[in-house]
Amino acid sequence: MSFSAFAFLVDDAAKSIRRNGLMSIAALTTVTVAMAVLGGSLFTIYRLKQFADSQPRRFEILAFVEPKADAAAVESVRDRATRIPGVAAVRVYTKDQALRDLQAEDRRQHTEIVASLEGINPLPDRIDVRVSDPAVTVRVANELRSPRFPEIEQVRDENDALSKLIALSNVIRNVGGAVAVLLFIATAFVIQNTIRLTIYARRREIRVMQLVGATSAFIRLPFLLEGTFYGAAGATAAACLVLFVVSQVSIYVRQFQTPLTQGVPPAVSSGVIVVMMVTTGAAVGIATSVISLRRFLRKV
Amino acid sequence: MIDLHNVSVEYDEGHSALRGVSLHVEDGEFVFIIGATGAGKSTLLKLLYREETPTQGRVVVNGSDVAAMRPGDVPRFRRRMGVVFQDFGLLPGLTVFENVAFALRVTGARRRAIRARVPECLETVGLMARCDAFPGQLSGGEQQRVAIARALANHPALLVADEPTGNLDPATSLGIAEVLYRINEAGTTVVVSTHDHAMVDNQPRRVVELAAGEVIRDEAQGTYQPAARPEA
Ligand SMILES: Nc1ncnc2c1ncn2[C@@H]1O[C@H](COP(=O)(O)OP(=O)(O)O)[C@@H](O)[C@H]1O
Ligand SMILES: [Mg+2]
Repeated sequence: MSFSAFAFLVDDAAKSIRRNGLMSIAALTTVTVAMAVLGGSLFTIYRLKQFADSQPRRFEILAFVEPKADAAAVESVRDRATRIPGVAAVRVYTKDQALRDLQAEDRRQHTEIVASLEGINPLPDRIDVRVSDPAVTVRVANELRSPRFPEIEQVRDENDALSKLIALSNVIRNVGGAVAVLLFIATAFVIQNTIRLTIYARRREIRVMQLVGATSAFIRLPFLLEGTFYGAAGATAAACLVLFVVSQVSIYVRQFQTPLTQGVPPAVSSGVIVVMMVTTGAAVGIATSVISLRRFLRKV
Repeated sequence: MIDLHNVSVEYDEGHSALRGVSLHVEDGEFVFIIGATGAGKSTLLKLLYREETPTQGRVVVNGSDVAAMRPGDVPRFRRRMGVVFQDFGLLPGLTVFENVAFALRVTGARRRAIRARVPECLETVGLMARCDAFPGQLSGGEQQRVAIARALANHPALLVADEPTGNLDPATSLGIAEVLYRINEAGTTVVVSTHDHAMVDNQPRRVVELAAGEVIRDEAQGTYQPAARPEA
């Protein structure tokens, strides 16, 4: 395609964006809102996950076995716990080990707790469980509490804060995802209507183009450019919005520099966020214009 | 140039706009297609520029089989012909010059080629003097000349005009007819549908008459009314 032909197409697209006025603004606004919700949720989820992953991995679940249980029962509990999906590692902390640790503690603290027990060990065996993903902590803990583990007397979920964080990030994912999907449907609808208006406003030109033998690609390109513009421009605005909010939030968070936030790796650069969002927006714009052209532009 | 063999076009079930039409037009011929409203003139012309495809039969134009053509081949096919309508179809926001240039721009012509070709087309229809006017500032006859100039832009081998004088008064119509004859004399095959008696009778040409979708007359030097059936 010659340069003048391309300039002609770009000019065409620009004209119709201006001519569509209010519809163009509606298209841009819906894209912006949809992309801001999508981008904002994804970024929040990403940061929460980063934070969760940066926390030292402990044995998140401690399961105390009945004092009456014998060594074979403890072994059996360990084997079955290992097979629960989402379990990364299982360690047995025996009552003997617990007693020895208590003795050591007595010596250090100059107390006589173990001596006062008069040779009886009241401590239970303990199974420590580490999960592969903090998100499954609650599920695994509940599994250990279930009747499938009658030997277990008590289960302590040691990582409550982190699993709450993960639960929160799941809520953000589900709600943000659902809202983003709805907004994308709205976006597609508005862009489609805008393109339809353009097709209507340009029906004479399109007719003439078809009759004098302009190729269908040539006829469609200005519409694709227009759709791409709505998608990309709306996404750019959304990216700016997200970056602004992120910068404000991180200024706020930095005031509480705690050991907890120390190990969190830095977020991806702003450039990456902008490129990802604009690419997504442009893709949505192109896809929607292709669909509207299929629906509204009569074949040659 | 044109070969229709036993062509039928059926828009709605059971109702045919064309029925078993066969027609042969040589390169360089000038043909009037006449007939009452609804006779099927527009449908016949639509087959020629592949706006319609035959329900039955074979249509070959410029060596291309219209029914067998893939949609992607239609643009190239149309660049070898010009089409003119009763309602001119000019773009009101463009000047006369730009309207003609439009046909070249959207088919990828270079700027220099456009600057050379547009004046030639406007000279042919006698409107170079009005090249900066907008369609709204022109009379109907002048607008139709611009439309014809635009149809000529890509050097068509075939010019198809569907009732080009339908909106014009008789004197203006004869002027348009003159332009069409001139274009034909330069070698372009011209097919004109009309129900304009004066235009057909002005210079006897080949006349093909349609009635209810069938060819009822095909005369080499015809008049609007058949000679054997003088007006009552
Ligand atoms: N797009 C269409 N859909 C259905 N019927 C049509 C269509 N176009 C034309 N017709 C019918 O086909 C017949 C021929 O129409 P047309 O070719 O336009 O005739 P003319 O141009 O001679 O007036 C008419 O009966 C008309 O109603
Ligand atoms: Mg007609």
